[in-house]
Amino acid sequence: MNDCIFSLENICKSFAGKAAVRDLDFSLKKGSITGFLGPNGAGKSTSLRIGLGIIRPDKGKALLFGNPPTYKALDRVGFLPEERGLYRKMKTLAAIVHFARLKGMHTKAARKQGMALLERFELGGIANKKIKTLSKGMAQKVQIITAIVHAPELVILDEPFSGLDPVNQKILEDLVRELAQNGATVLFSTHVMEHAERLCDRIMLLSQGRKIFDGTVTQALDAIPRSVWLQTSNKEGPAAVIGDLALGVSPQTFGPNNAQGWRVDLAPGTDIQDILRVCIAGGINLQAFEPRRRHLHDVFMHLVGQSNTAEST
Amino acid sequence: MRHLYLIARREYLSYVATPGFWATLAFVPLFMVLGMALPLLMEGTTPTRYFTVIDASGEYKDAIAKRLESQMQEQIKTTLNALESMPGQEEKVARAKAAFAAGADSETIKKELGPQASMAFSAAKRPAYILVPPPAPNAQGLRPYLLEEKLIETPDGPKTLYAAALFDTTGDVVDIDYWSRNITEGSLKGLIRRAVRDKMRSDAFSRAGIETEIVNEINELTPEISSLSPEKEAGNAKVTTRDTIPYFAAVVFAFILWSVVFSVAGMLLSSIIEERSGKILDSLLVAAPIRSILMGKLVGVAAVSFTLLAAWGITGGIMATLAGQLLPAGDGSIKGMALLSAALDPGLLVAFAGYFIFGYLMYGSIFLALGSLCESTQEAQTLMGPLIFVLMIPMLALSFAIKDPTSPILGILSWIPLFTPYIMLARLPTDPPLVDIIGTTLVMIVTTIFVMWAAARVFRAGTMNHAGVDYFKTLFRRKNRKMART
Repeated sequence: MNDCIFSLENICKSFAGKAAVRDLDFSLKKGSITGFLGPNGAGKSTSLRIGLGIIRPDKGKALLFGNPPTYKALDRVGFLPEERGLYRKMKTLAAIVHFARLKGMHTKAARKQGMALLERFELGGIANKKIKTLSKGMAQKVQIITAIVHAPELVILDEPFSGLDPVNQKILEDLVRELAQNGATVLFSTHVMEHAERLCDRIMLLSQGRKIFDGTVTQALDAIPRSVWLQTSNKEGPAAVIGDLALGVSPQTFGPNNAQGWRVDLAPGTDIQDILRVCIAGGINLQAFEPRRRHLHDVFMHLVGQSNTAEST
Repeated sequence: MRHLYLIARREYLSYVATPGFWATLAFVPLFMVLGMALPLLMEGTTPTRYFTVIDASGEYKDAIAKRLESQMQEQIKTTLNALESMPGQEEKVARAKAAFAAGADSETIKKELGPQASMAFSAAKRPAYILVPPPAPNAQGLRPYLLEEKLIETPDGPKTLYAAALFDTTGDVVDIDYWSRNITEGSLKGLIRRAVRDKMRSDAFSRAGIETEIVNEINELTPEISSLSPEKEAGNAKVTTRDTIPYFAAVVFAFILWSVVFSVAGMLLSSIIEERSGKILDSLLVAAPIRSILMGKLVGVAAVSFTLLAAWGITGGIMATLAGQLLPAGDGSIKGMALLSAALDPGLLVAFAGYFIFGYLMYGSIFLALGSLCESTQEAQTLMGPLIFVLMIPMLALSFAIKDPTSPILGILSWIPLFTPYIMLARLPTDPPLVDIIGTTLVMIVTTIFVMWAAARVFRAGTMNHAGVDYFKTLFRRKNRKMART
């Protein structure tokens, strides 16, 4: 049985001579949660649209459940587009049922499942209200429901957390986990690294249409050097004492009080203990010493920065 | 098929569920009835107007009085001719006409007509103007009467003086001062002018030695033209109102077709703009094939228009039946009945349905494709502007068709596929050559297929590649570049 749910093979796409996606190649395994990260204009939405057969690639091929995308296959996909919108004059439940029926669901089942999801998002009371009367956040939740009401095997969510308050972000996170637990494969794009960090088995980072990272969150965090922040009364700082153990030592403020200190980026193979040891041995008067936790945000900034520099040179 | 059905259904329900749809459904027949009834109603409710003439010579006053009388006789004659077309009234009207020719008075004529026809006759024979003696000798004295500060005495009781004509015949030229508060109405002024002109000419002939009787006889000379059609049986070849009505009916149908096609094409345009600007298309595109979206919309909106047409048709049929049974017939209602019976001609109805389908598919596809390139109605207006000007041509041509449906210009225009549905529909009662019917139909079908194919490409570009209003410019540039390379 083919375990590959969704794959893009060497996809290239340009618009008006400008490359939007370049040699993009990846595949998703059944039941995984994958984060699709990248700055604005990185080509995330275009890649997803190519994968779903909305846009034809200039080169390469997209496969859905092992075959080129067809509408029969798309019935097994739930998609939340980046550019969201629903028929404003339709009633909420009617809109959900309409899209569920387009995906092959029977009316009765669609109504039942749609209502259950509305209840879950605490929207049971708006089932018969017109979409145009809903707040932006409510409409966003309704749109998410239309994407998953037919219990798709592959769920593709383009920026699903935007427009949601923290409570609903949490509900959506739980829902994504539940979908994966029930066997669905989830691919979502986001700018909010915390969601990716908390949810994803795997992340992919895109910059200027090119994939610049593909791996687990741990692997991503390892892509940037570990660092430590220290404060000393020595005016010349710790650079001379640390020497080759660090990739760089730079002055940096830290903490809520913006205390002046030094950021030390550790060289590969260096342990934080080594830094502490040489500082004490070197007579550095340490007033504070704090290992910094690495965040996906830093990985994002680091890798995208690298990619931009490489592109410009 | 599931996608097509669901999209068509949603499209249909989205219009049918709106108050605007029901308002259109109800108001259009209402407006049509009002449109037909309003001129008759205005005519019926316009009061008889009283006017006076101050003419020292008295000659011109008599001429005007005679003109009024002959106009009344002409009106009776026209009414009797119109009543002739009324089903079941032929014999009675023939007897009334004979009485009229023998110089019988109105009451005798009325007696000869049945109760239904006599009502119409009474309404029609009411005089529009009555000449009354002047209540004052000059303009100054007439002013309070004309300003309705004073009323004039008439056999019908005190009335308003509508107008006054004051003659000055002292010089070589007859000068008439026409006084009235209604400064736009011109029929009475025209009547006075014609009466006086004929009198002046008659006098001039007399001065030249030609006897007045001879002049009058000459003036009365007018040919009686009977319209005959070689297509009718010999002995019964006279063209009646019933024969001419289908020509008008076809033009009316063509106007209705034009209006309906444009209304529903407009619906498609706003629908696709809503989906594009409302960012619904991406959700739709992963739920249904693009051809189902395109066709679903076309079918859904076509169903809306069929619902409207069917409702109007049924209402029209019921109204025609009721009108035939209940309403007293006047000249207008006779024409209306004939129009409705001509409209029920199966040939014309089949042609209407066929031309509607192709006209709708052509214009609907064009509007849908152009709409898919637009983010807002403002953008759509920019794109549609030149197109609308082109599409006004059939409207102008249809105005011609009322006067001369066999005009060669209509023949030429009917070969332009965008105009074929309207122009050919208007031409059909004139029995155009078979080659015109088959040829224009084939060209129209081929063009419709091509337009739908091209529209699908534009629609695909607009929906899938987010092409904008500059799509055609880009396409043109790309083609130019390709040509330059080769």
